[in-house]
Amino acid sequence: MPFIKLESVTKTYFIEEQKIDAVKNLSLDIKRGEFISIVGHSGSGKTTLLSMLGGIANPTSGAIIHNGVNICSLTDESLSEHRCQKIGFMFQFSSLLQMLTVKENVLVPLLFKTEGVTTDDLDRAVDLLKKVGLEDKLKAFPSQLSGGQQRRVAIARSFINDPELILADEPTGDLDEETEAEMMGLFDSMNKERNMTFVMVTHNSDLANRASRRFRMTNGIIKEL
Amino acid sequence: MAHFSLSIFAFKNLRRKPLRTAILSLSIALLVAVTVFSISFVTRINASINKATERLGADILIVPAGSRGAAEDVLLESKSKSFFMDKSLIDKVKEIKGIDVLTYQTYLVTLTGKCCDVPDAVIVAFDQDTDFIIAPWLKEKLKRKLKKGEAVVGSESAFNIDVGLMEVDSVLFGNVFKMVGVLDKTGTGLDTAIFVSDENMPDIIKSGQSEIKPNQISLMFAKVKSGYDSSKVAGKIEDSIIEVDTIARKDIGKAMIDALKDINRIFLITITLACILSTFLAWSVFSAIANERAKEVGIMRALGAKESHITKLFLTEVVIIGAIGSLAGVAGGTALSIVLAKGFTILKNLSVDLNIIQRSIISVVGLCAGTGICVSGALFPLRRLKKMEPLSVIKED
Repeated sequence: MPFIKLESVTKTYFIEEQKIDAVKNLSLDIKRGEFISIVGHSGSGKTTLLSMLGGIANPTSGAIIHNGVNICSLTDESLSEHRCQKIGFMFQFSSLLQMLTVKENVLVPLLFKTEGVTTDDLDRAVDLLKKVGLEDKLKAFPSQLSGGQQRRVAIARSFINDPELILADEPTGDLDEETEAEMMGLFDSMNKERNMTFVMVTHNSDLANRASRRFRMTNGIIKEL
Repeated sequence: MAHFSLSIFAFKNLRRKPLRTAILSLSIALLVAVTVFSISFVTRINASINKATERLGADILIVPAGSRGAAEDVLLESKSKSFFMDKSLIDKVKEIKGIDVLTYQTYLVTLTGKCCDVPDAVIVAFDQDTDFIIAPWLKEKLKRKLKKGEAVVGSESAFNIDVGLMEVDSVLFGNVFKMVGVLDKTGTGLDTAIFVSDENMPDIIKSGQSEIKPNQISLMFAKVKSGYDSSKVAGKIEDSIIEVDTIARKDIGKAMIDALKDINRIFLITITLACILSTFLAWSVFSAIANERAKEVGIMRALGAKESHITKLFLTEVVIIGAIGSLAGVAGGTALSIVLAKGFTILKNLSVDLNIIQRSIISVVGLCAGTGICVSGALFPLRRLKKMEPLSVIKED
């Protein structure tokens, strides 16, 4: 059984009465521990696909089966638990909470776990921030960081709950080449050492080529490269 | 661990726009202050009336025709007034069916420098043989009957004439009286009175310094026999004796309560309008907050927050604002009720102040009202916020 199975997934939006199929009849199997990259033009449906994989958007039709569970049929509460425990998101945009410090931003996903934030979690947050090179910015606020630094905080945050699936939307968009390489090294090590599954959307073909499987999305249709 | 939690998160959110938080808290504080002041005002008057009627221990007051208001002024509001009727009416009242025991009192108003060397007060002459109004207090404090030429003073009057630590002599209507004791606070207007035995009345009348004529009294207190309705007995007295008016126990203070109803209505309208205004203000502020935070909430939902987490986070902020405003309002309203009471004639003359339990209950009502209004104003924005689809608000950026 595949780790994730997408069965004839379609997502349709209506904008000013105009029907737009962001994702069309998409079927895909993803194995545990795979590193998948998806390339494609803006508006090709990449972000919509990631959102559906992460359960923050429901497909118009079809099913998304994660570890044997159809997440499309989960209640809002179960879906939230699913996201909290199994998914790590890296958004395309600045997604830090402005009134929280860097360390607190990394800890935010743990606020939503039943057991709350523990001292071990604190240590883990500091450790992750060291891995992204921000150990000296623990008490800084997002407004005091550059775009690249904010992006690295979001990367650290996506790993805090030790998820089995990382959904990364242009994760290195604001980073310089050196930092980008460091972050990709971190992704590789998380992928190999912790068997985390990565689905990464990128415009950067060099980065895409580092994945174990590569896909291109065009007008809502996915094709393996 | 206590370093980071949803509550700390909520506190941090409030600090983002301190001016907005302060304005909303202030509006809640003003609402609660008005509520606490109004309830304190009305409760104090009601408590004074209840306590006074309870302490008087009589079922019916019989007063000269047209003197109901004056009698209530003396008994409830410590006002110095005198009114008289013929003493022979006592026998007529006693003949009315249902009257059990009856006593009478005579009220004389002192005039400083003219008749008496005490500040303005009511001198109450009472019949020690039939009295059941003053006797219980006298028995407790003096442990004997008053002798001719002796007086005891109410707790409030004692402050004015330095009685209490030592016996002093005062001249009342040309007669020297030895002040032999101070009564405990009774909660009636009689706390400001000076009490003498009725046997002094001939000498007072003889002095010619009082307006009273021989064989006059001010009012009668009656208890009705068991099984009789005091209102019906009071009605029968009025029907039979044209020279008197009566006040049944439940009607004591009725004029003041009727006047209070209008004040109550004004307070109620003011509080209702203030509540509506505050709810709208809370609603508009929290709607603005909900709009500002939509993307953040979307991100939090994507990171695993349940609707209950969003509710808890938002409501914590709301309750903090409501509680801070309400606490300030309770303090302000209580202070107003104490300070402004001195400026309201109706309150200034009341003998009863609110006790700590009454003040606590009013404070709790104020707290609940302030916080409740804040929460009510936040419910719709909260509902909208927690029901938003994460992707739609995230993509709005």
